[in-house]
Amino acid sequence: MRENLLKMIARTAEKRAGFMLLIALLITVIASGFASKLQLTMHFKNLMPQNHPMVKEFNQVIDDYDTASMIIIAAQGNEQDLKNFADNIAVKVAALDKFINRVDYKLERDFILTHGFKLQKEKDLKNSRDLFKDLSLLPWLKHLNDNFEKTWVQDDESISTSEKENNAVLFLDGIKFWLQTLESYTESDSNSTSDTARMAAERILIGDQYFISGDKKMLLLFAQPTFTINEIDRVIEVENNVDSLIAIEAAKYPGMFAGTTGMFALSRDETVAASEDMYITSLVALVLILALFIISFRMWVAPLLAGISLTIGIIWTAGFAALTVGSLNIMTSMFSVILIGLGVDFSIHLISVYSEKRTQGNNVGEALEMALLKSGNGIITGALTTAAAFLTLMISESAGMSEFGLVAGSGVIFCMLATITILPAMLVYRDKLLDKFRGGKTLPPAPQFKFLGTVGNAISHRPVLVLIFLTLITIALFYSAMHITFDYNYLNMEPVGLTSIKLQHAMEKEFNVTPDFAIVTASSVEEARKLTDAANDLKMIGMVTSISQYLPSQEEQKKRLPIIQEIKKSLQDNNRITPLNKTGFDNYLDELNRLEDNIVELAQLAFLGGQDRVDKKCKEIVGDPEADNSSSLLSTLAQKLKVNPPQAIERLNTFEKYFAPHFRELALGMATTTPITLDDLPQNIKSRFVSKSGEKFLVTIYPKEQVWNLEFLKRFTERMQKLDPRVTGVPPIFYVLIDIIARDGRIAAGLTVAVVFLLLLIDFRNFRSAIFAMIPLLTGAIWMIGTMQLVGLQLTMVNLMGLPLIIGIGIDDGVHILHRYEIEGKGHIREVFSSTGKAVFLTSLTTMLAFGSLVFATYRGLGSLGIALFIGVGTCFLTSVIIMPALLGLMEKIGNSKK
Amino acid sequence: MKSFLFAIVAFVLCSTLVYAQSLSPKEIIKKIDDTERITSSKGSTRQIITTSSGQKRTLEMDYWSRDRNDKQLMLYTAPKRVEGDKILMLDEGNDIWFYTPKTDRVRHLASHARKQKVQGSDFSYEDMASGEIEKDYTYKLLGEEKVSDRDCYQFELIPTPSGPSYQKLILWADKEKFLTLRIDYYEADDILKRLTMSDIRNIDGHWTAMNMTMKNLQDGGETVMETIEIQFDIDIPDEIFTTRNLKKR
Repeated sequence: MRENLLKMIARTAEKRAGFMLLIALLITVIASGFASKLQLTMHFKNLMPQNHPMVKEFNQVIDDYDTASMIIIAAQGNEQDLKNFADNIAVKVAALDKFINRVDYKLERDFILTHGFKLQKEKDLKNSRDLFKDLSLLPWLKHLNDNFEKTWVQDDESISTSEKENNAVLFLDGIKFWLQTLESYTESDSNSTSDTARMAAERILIGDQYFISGDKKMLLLFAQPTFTINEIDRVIEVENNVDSLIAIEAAKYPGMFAGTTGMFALSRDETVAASEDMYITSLVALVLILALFIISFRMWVAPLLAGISLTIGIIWTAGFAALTVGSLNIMTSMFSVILIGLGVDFSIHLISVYSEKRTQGNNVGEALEMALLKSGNGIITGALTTAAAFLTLMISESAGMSEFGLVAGSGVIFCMLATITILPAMLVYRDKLLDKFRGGKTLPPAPQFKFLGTVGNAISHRPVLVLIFLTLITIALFYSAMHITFDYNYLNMEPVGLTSIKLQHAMEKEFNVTPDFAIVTASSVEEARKLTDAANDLKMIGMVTSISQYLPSQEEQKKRLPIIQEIKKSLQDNNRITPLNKTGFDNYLDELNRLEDNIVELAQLAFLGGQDRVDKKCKEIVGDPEADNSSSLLSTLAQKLKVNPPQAIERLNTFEKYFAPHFRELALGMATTTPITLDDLPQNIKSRFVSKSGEKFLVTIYPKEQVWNLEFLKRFTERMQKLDPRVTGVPPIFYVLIDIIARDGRIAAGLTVAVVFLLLLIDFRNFRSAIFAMIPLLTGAIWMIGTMQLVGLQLTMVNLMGLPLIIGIGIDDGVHILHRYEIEGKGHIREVFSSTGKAVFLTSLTTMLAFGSLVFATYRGLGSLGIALFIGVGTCFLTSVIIMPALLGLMEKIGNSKK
Repeated sequence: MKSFLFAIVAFVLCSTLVYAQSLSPKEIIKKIDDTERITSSKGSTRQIITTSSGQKRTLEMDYWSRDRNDKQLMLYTAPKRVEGDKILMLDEGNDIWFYTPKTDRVRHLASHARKQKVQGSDFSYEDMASGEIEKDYTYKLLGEEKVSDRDCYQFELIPTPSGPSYQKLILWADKEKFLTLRIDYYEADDILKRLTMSDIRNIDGHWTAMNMTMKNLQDGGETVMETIEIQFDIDIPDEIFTTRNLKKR
């Protein structure tokens, strides 16, 4: 039946080539229409089974909370430049109102200045209440010291968690600013404006308004888009717009490095890189393969025609992919390169026989029929075997592998169909045209690869020796394969040098958090509070954000109320400011000295306790004990004050005149006694933490360190799942995905082997031949992993798929050799390897070139698969041309000895 | 002669084993308590902690303890940054004082801090106090298991109201040396921390773990304590465990 079909194709191609090409063109135009709608979604979330509860929850969070997908604008530079940059860029980005709802870059100042005290813990309020009793210089500083000692030095656990460490840094930062302001007042009275003193009061009470790092070298802004991360086209557009604005603004500040980071930026970068990679690698693969084709067959037009039929096959596949899966993910995005590598093999086989028959003097029709009959069977069987192996991947749980199976499997069939229908029709046109010019001259013979025959023949004469040698190599490579490691860091799959990733690393360092957070949705504020407290107690957590930060429980508020009332009363009752006198001045110097001792002790405790950020901030104030040229702000201030005490007293009193009233005014504002309710929260806060329906509350948990180390990722995910089984977010999804992909990989590899073996049994109708075809394949797979380990490669989430792929691809070599051996018969190993060996060599080389082209991909995940498959196709070729003649030689020897 | 000696050694070992096998849980616990009962000790140790920015920091200190670790004094000796800093723990970690020569002040760090972590480490003050199983826990022999290739008794320890704050502990003690080789600490039915002892040596007749690793299994923290030098049962005057003494060089 297959023979009749092939004959019919040959006849139709010869007689009605135009009609065939017209039909193909029509189908291609329709497929192109669909293909143009094909999208790229490169986030690894899209590799997950889309009905997995974690993915569903993640998508739900993105839909429910505007802030779940935020554009993070990050800048590095000096403090003043950063703040100026933030003020300007916030306005410009917010003006992109088609894309951006709003930009957050400062604390909710008004809310904190109204409810600030109610947001403080009862213990902290108790420790600090004396600070509001008398705002005159000396008593205020004395109370500041008392508060410092109670809160930070005499509480062994005061800085034991990240949250507490952050609070300590914030408090110290306020003291540092206050000291710097005080110093500027004592230096000259030209700075004695009320603004700086007012600012010092605000910094002590509520801290820095900007989202700025402890060392003031990095600043963050959060832009909330009008759409979610799932709309990739808009993500790219808005990211490009925001990046352009940043580039223009940042250029005004020398030395500033700024850009966007977080999931939005990374999605844009991944998609743009993958999209460019798809075209570039496909083009590189096509050019290299055609060049090889032209060199090895000494033809020009035929390879180009092969390229056209291959391109048509790929367009059909893209159209089919658009209709079935709708978008391409990390794995399916490389389908075109894979099809170029595999699909060109069909053309090689067809053109090889066709040109051979033409050089033997056959006319176009005869040559075409013979070519299709001789190579068509192999092409169809090879395509069906490879397609079946790929389609087997469809049973995978992960969407990535399952979709890849469908796209690549159908793609192989489309390319095969294009090769056996369109290529013959185009060859007819070409030859009819050439015949007119050549006037019936025969074609020059194509180059031969006789060395393969010689090698194959030599091996077949010493099969036992060769097989022992191969077994030893295989054992060594198997040992090596067992030691291959897995790179769990998905950032290592991203393109090199991305601004988004550089800024992400800087964020980790400066803010002690990574943007790869876990998300839990609570069904009540109370639940959100419990989750927040539990997460904050964990050492592995850098930061937790939730509604509970702004909405303490009624019980907590009740406990805080009497202290707030006490503070309020103190502020209202004691509004007299006592200026500093000579005696007070000496005591003031003592208190400054006491403050220095307190900070030195906190620094020592922070160093012993490993709280680096607190230690660093302390050193900014009291100097670094390990650095020779480091000085203490406090000692310097005290020395300056001692130079001219009367003048110092006068200037300190000037400072007090501005500082104290403003401090009182702000503190009184913060001492509101009415309780905070959910309705009181500003819309900006609500939209960050409350779902659109108002029924759910978002808790975001940021790990302290990078999650891309399996041990930490596992611990973090398991801990978060224990906290709440509904947890989702990038790290938990990635952890589950690793498990799914590993399981899929194992199942897919096993099933592919089974399916391939079954197809071989059907094809050869001989158990021994099927086993013979499998041996080089399985050995090649072992050599592939062993070689990867030897050359220092690691397995990744993407190249793991190489193993089932290589089983589908690598089988062809053995199949072609065995088929030819069956035709040629015993004693013709040299002929088999001279002729089929050439085709196998060329097809392996073309496939290697196609996969090798992935090395040019900027998206390193694709590169990792390209290299793995390059090695795999190479090792499968080697094992086929070495093991197969040895096995066939051994079989012949055994047969001869029996006779 | 050699085979005769071997026979004697084998006989003694077998007798010990038979004897040990016949011990009741109470007798085993008593032996563990006796082995680990250290009236006083003096030595130096190296502590490796992980800082909040993920760096490893090595601290070295001399220490003195008496009354079964009820009173402990630590004098930091390295790095230079902390040279001379002292921490005094009294009342099994319920009363903690800190001194640094940089300010020459003695600070009361905390009280009722038994559950809290010792500076930068994953050990809590109550983990550092040696306690007495017989007094602080009710126990149940769960069976026998190998830990670091050593045959061990496995006990479940439930703290008494006056005992530590954990929900329970699972303890593995060497069957031959009656020395604890591993402890799993539980809280809310969940394993919280794991203490592993290694490099076991006999010092002045005391089987001693020269290396202790406390791994926090929930947040991944790890603290390693390496004993550099240790002396047992020496006379340490009570007065060195006073806040007054902290200021003395």
